[in-house]
Amino acid sequence: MSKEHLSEPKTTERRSWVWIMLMVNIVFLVLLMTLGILALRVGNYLPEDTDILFVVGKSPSVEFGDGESNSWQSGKNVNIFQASYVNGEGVTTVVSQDGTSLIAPGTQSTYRFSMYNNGNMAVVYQTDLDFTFKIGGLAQAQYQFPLKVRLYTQNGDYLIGGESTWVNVSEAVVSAHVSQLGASSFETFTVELMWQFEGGNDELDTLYGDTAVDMGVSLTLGINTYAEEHIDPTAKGGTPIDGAESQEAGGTVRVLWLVLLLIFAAILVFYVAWLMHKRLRKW
Amino acid sequence: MKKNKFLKIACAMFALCLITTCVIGTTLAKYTTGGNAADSARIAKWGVTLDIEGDDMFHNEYTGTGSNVTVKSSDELKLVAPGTSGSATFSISGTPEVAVQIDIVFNGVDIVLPAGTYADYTTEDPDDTFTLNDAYYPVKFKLEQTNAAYAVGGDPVVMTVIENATLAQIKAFLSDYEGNDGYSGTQYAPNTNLGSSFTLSWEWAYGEYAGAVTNEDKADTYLANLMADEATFAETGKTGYVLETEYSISITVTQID
Repeated sequence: MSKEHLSEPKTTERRSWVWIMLMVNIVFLVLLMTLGILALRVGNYLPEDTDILFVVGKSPSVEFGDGESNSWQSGKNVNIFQASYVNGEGVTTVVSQDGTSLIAPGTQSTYRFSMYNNGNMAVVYQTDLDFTFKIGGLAQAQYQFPLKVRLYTQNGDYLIGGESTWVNVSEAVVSAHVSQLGASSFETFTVELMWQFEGGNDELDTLYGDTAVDMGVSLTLGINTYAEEHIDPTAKGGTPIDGAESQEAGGTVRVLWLVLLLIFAAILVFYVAWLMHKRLRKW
Repeated sequence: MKKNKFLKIACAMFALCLITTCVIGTTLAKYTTGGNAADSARIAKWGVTLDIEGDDMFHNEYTGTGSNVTVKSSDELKLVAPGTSGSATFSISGTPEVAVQIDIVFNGVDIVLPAGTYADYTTEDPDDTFTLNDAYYPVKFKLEQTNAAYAVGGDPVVMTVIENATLAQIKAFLSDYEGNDGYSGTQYAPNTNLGSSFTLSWEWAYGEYAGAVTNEDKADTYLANLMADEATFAETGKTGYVLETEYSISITVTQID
């Protein structure tokens, strides 16, 4: 009998072992990942003080509002503009004939709104303004209107314009601010609009005033905010809400779980490879 | 070779684990939310209009009773003469939603023959003279106002603001008047009906003069001769007379800050 005939059955058997070990390794990895996903999904619906496999439930809660009401209501206008204005000497210089809000040369409006993050994780948010200008009820795609705007935070950081500079509304529509807001924190914004009295173009101002009599001219200001959870739930930003209880950041273990998964998978893969290598050396 | 083969498989599985983990990580749902607020405002109404029809206060010919032309310019230029008259109308309208100030700037030049003694060209005696004790203004003006603010429930009220006046007196009146319908420099609250019209009329009286000057016919003749041939009829040392009249008016309505 030759050694070659004796070695053929052992080669086949060795290959079978390799495939079996590979399949077992893959199954272990899949089970590990599935277990992690299940832990996170279940953790979101459990009470905050429930710990399963070191998972903390996410409790998101972001609200938007102003000084008059705590939250913006869908489809309902807020009060940015006024029906009458008083100058610096206390004299009423602009009055609406029908009680509707209006603007005129020399008028200035201020509106403050806040974003409250009452949840247990940080969020990334974006704020921007948009304007719609209408003549006779028809929106104008392009227009030259002497209304200027600036937007700043409670800390005095200007998002649109500056302390001594204003931006025309037709140029401010594309401005967007992206920042982050920590858990149990809030941020307050102030938007100011001004139609300069001595804007340097009395003819245009008068034309708009006369057109308002004949056809009606209007301007709509829209404030848009969008927030999503931060990849780092412990990120800081904004002003902490007074009296808010300190909570454990939700979703933290997601990052930790990923790291543990990688480490365990690496250990498992190299251990199996080492076993297989050792066995083959024996053969 | 066999060692490398299994190490390669191990590395490939580790890479597969990394890739799978990243994919799993990105498919996990994340929290998002948004908020929107809006408000609209219309432009305040202005709609103030000024109508000044003053270019035809004087004419180059005038008709008397009926359609007979009694005065006609020889060179198509506008003129005035005893027995002629005319008028011009200025109006403001609108109810702006902003506070405004109305300013009226008026200027005028009167025909005048200063006080003094002049040759009497109404007699054949070249030595006859006549004396004017005061300056003689042959053309007299009257300013009337119709204010829509008084027309609530009724017809507009026409008020004579000033009459039998010179253009200089009209100017002073418009600059200083501060009555209820006030003029230059008067401010109005938002939504005030500014509707108001002014009529400035004039007359060169024929045969009758309301002032204290006598010898008005002699003065009218003297002025007319000067206009016809100043070189011939002007007297040495007699200056200060004016043979042409003119006026200008500017009305401005401005928003107040």
